[in-house]
Amino acid sequence: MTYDWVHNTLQEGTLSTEVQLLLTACEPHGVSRREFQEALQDAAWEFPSQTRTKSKQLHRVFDPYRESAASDRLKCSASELLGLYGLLRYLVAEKVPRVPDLLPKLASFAAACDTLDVLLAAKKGATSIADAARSLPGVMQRHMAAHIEAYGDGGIRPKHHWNLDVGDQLARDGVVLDAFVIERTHLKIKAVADSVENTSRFERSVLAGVLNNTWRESATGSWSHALLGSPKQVAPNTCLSARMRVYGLTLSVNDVVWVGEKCGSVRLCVLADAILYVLVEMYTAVGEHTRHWGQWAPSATHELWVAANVQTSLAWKVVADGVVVVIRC
Amino acid sequence: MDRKRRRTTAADILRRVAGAGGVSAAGLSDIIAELQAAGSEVQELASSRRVISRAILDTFDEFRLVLQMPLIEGGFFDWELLEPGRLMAETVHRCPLVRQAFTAAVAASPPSVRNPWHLVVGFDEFAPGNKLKVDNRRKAMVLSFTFRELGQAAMSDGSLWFTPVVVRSVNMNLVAGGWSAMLAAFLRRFLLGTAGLCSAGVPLELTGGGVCMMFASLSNLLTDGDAWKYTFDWRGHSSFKPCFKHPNVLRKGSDLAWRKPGYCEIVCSDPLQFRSWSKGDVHAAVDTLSAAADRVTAGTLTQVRYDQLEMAYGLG
Repeated sequence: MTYDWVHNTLQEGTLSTEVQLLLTACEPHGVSRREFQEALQDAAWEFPSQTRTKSKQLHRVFDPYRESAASDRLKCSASELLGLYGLLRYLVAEKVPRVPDLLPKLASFAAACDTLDVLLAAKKGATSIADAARSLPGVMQRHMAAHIEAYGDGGIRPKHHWNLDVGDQLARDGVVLDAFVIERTHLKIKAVADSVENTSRFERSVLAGVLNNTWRESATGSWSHALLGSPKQVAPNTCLSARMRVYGLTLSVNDVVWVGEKCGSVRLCVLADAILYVLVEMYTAVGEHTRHWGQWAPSATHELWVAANVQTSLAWKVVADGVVVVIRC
Repeated sequence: MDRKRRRTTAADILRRVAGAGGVSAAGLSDIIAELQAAGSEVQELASSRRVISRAILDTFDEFRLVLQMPLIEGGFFDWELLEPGRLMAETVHRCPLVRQAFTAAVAASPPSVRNPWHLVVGFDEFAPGNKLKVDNRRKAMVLSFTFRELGQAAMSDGSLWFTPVVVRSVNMNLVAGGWSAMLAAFLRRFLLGTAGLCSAGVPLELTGGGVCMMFASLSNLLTDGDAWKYTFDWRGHSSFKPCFKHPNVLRKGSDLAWRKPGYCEIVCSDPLQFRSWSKGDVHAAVDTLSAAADRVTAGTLTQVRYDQLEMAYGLG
């Protein structure tokens, strides 16, 4: 039996509760949902090519029609909240006043975000599964304690309790298992099932269509290493392109990416001797920095990074004098 | 002049078929490439919808498995699904990238009876059609599986998950034991059947022409709270026992946890307080409920007492 952290945390889960309670608590202090929505609508925000279309719509989470006075959870999908939480953490730090009444609530929100940070770092390979498994129970416990301190135990739900098991699951399994991929599989099935109105042999019709599509796509598809678009051969074993796919991650020119603590903007995707690289214009740190975001300025230097080691940023925007605010996670 | 006319004709055809039936430009390009590769055989292809549907259904029928599930009201439901082992073997055979992933993982950790791979089974319900007007007739349970040995990055890619089961919820509800019984039947067939992952193994063709026998045991069932409820006949997150793993964790405000040592409520954040259910505990609980149900039928136990017993165990 494996509890799914995505359902526990993001799908009407612990983080959905946390965000909703914080937004409600912020309103008497003059920070409304509308203000968060406008900040997210800022056209200056840039997003990685892989998530750009969806990320540009994240502000819709704060649409008035999604608001419900009765609900104690933010109404949004798991993938929306996954894209949103890092941005929200930045906006909360920017906009919410540090008044005594809000401090425990901000601490609880930060602790909830920390739980997601650990899980995502393990999933992306930025930290080892063993390290994540060791730290998760403590992080989850801290969040629960912080939540109770800020709001009492009224908002504690079984999902908070189930989350306490996720650390042990990681230690047992050695991988981060979650339902994101299962939900994506549903999209493939939905594409076929939507047109099957006759339910007399629904199972057969849907499975036949899905099987046909899966084999067709898998026979020609590429989920591992490949340059995308129209690669240009510049030497016998070297091709260049504006886009690439590496371990399911699509990288494009202008994406802001990371390797370790180094940050930069992709200028070119390179395939050389069967290895994918990105040519990156390096950024140098300027101004304010936290674990999750910082201010950077483009430098004149470039580096070639192995694409498999690269992590994308969540979002970034150019502020005054070419300085770029980069939200890492 | 002739050349110009030919070009115009080809463009006209393209305009007519582009987007037909929702086919994308990339999809159409693939279709044209396939037809060009087929050459003269194109003339022999029939084009009616019936023939196209038949061709797709024939593939399903080749891998079809029918499990007869007893119905609550008597009789059987012929549950049509894909034979999971054959589905996996054929997908690995047909899809070079999937084969490549299996080949690499087999090289790193060769499966054997003594060292079986870890089977991960995920399932969840979904409803096709309009999200705002859910059609419950078509709401369906979807089950997919993969193996832990394929690795974190590969497992996040849908290409390495196999989907042998889509079953409508209305059919599930008619079956004696519901989804719980269906999942058990599926796993019994996949793991312990004649060509099961725990018995004879499933032959897989690897890159380079080698063949390996895939052996695996069930390691993870992955789903959400609602599906856990159907799977274990558990009374769910809002029940007296909101955690299926820890029977000593009671719902918030139960007013009982403080009465007996060893119990706590879901607001407790100390994992040392939680006691997991052993296999024996689960069996004993099910046996007790089963015996109690027999007594209700025999008239020696009241329904109210039985309901209380179910509530106490958190099982339905």
